[in-house]
Amino acid sequence: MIVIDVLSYTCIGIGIFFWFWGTSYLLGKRSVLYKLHSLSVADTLGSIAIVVGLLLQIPSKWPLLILAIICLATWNTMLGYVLAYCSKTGTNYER
Amino acid sequence: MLYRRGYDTLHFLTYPSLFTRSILDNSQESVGAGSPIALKIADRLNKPAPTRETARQEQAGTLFHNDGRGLLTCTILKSFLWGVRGWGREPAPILSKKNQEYTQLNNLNNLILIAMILALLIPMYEVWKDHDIWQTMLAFASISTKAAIIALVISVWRDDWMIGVVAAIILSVGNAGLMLLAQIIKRISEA
Repeated sequence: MIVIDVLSYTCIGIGIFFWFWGTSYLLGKRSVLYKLHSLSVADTLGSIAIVVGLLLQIPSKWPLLILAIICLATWNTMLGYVLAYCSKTGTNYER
Repeated sequence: MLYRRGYDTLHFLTYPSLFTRSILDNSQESVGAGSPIALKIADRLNKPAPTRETARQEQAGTLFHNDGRGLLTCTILKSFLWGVRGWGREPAPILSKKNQEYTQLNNLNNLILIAMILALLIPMYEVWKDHDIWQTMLAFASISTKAAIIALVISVWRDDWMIGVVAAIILSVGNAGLMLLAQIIKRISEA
């Protein structure tokens, strides 16, 4: 029981660290694509880590949590592509 | 129901879960009717100290009352909200030894929630600064994901499926809406 708690809180902690790390690039003066990359990677992976931590803690909620993981993995990736495609016209994105 | 003391704000989000029984349950117990503090206050006021029973009888006829947990409760609404977890509950029982082990975890849960809300504030600040529409869209996408995950975490800790379903819907439909919005912004800026 204790081991599972430690594991799950470690997962959640890693997820929150990813959130902060990825979101901190949002405040800088880099290009949109750079921010998009760090934000989508960190948000998706961090959120998946948090949900996995919850799954370890309370396995009885697995349908909801697995659904959340699948939604995250597919739609966040897709949103990253769509935003990158839509934002690329006319802006300088090499910075 | 309408007002809680400051320390209780986050606690109420995670109230009913087995994992999140709090050390606050004990502190609520210690300021309730019949507790040592209540006895001391009654002694100062030269009044007979209220017991649990007399306090409950007093509140039966009133519209609003303080139920001894720092919680101003509307008596009539309380009966309607009885079925909703965490609202209008009886004062929490003194914790068993097993639950007391979880109280340490609950403080951790509150810290996790606070950290998540802080992470949510960063993209909100970015939206507020607002120089470029695509950066705003990015920040909105980030807010959507983070809010959904926070709702999911709360739903799991509260053992409440309905909030969790809302979170899953936000995760899929919120992202889809942002994609449509991105397409529309692109078409408009091209025209």
